Amino acid sequence: MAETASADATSGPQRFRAGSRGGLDYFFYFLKNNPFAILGLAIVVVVILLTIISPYIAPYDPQKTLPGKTLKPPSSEHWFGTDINALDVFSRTLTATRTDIPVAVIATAIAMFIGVSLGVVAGYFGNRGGPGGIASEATLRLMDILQAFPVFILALALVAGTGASTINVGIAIAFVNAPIFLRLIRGQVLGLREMPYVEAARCAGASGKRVAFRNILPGVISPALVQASVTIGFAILLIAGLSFVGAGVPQPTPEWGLMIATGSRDIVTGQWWTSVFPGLALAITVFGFALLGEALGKALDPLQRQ
Amino acid sequence: MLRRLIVKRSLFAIVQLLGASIIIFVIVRLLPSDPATAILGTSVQEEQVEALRERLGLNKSIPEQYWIWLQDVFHGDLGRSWFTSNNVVDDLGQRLPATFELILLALFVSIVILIPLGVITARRSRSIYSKVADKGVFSYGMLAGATPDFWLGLVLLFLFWVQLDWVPAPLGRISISITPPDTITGFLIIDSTIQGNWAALKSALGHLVLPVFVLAFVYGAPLLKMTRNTVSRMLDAEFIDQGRAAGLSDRMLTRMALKNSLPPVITLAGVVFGFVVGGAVLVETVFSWGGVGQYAVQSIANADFNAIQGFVLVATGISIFIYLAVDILHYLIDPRVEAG
Repeated sequence: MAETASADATSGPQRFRAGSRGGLDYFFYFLKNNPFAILGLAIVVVVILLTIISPYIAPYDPQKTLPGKTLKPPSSEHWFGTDINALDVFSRTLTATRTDIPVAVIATAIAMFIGVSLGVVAGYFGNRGGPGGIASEATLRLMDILQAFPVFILALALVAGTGASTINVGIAIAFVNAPIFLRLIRGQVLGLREMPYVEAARCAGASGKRVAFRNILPGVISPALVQASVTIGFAILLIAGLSFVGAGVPQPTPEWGLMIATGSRDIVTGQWWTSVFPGLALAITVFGFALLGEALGKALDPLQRQ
Repeated sequence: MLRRLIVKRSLFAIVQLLGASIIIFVIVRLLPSDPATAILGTSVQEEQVEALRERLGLNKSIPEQYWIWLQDVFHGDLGRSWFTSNNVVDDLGQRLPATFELILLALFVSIVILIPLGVITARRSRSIYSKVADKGVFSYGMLAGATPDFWLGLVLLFLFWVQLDWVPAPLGRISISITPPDTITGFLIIDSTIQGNWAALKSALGHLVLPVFVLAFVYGAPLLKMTRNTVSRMLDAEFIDQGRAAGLSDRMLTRMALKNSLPPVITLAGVVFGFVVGGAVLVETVFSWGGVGQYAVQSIANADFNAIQGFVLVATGISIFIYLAVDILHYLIDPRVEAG
């Protein structure tokens, strides 16, 4: 992995001595001293595990109504109660991971791929003239314009235009997040391209393309991964928010925002469990990804190691 | 210098707005496979769809359609909402004060509470107090960032409306039984104060307290973190040490640090504003606020394309204006930015 290589290259006279596996060893060393990081990692691991196994461990079918069980409060039989459609809230909360997590992860991966490739091009070939320079200038101007939109409203407009479906929500989220990666990576590349090792590669006769993707790209993977963790959390919030206002995942898919929307009508009559539990699951998940992102940022940045 | 900067920056804002209008046009007008069918549904006759297409100008070329739309926008015509059958400009104008009152108050509250808190906790030391502040600011930032605003609104409504009955029902900005003040500024708290309508003021504040808290709590966190970090860095900066060596008082030094911390904090406040505008869409829906955010959500449910288009254009225009104002303010405080 790229961050392992870069970590080895930079381990100098520090308190921690990098072993053969460098970055990974350091990450575990880091975890030991950061309870918040452990919490974040634990949450993320549990959530990902649930994404895989939730259909097998959910006590009830998340989409099958249970006759006579409308709006029952939490009990030993139904831990999170049942909702207005007589569905088991606990089972729905668990299986919602299968909608929220894959959509958020795939959308983030697409955003990262687009943002990182364009960011490297814009950073490395920018201010250099030629077709690369023009392309990077055009990309930056487009980013200036996209930046003017409030993120949630741009996503809302995209889904409104393309129609509310799970795929379109994913596309919208990838679209609004790609500029964040682009800006981040471009900034990193601008710094890296003046480094002596890059100059050395160029002197050795490496082509621009080779330098950009073989020498510079590995150096920006760490910050991109950190951003990705934060973005996944943010993407989950966006999916839930869009679904909450009816511009997201369609009914009756188990999805946290959609469940909160359905449950919001029961609040008036005192049935809090239909909206509180899915919201808690949503908040804890986002919290986990944010903590993990923060921890990765500290662990993967060689300059912060002490 | 100042004039040159304002002109240059304003031109950039106009280019941004034009670019944004193209993107909005493409998203809302071109992505739906056929707005005419979307409006009429599929169970109508071919001629009706064709007639509507002709009336909406959908048979013209795309650049032509954009040009016609842009001219209309410049004449203050955002088209007619087929759902409310009003001009979208009137619909938005009627609802904007409600949204502005909400988001400006939320921004005001977060600035007034969180920025001083950031300054107070900025001085770092080995004391327990400093460590608690460290963990507190970090935890609050992480929690606020993870909390879905619409869900927090619901939970608070359950607690303070359903259970405790401390706040009024989430049905708009003021209770129906109260006579609202005459419209002067459109902001209920200002209008009712001017007219001495205390019952209306009380009702308006009661309706505002939860949505304002939700927005300020969820979106204000970066302000606290940024203020704290910036002021903390400034207090450690060399110019402060030099000032201390020259015998300046602590008060004077703190003032110097604060003045130098202001520009990044102001820039961030602009960014936070953009997020609050987005968050208002969700929070308005929870509290049936009757502002432009709720209007946008209704428009999406009704496939009301003119209304969606108008809303996104206005919301983006507002945030472009805020970024412009923030940049000019930044320059007034720190004229070095223009060189960069």
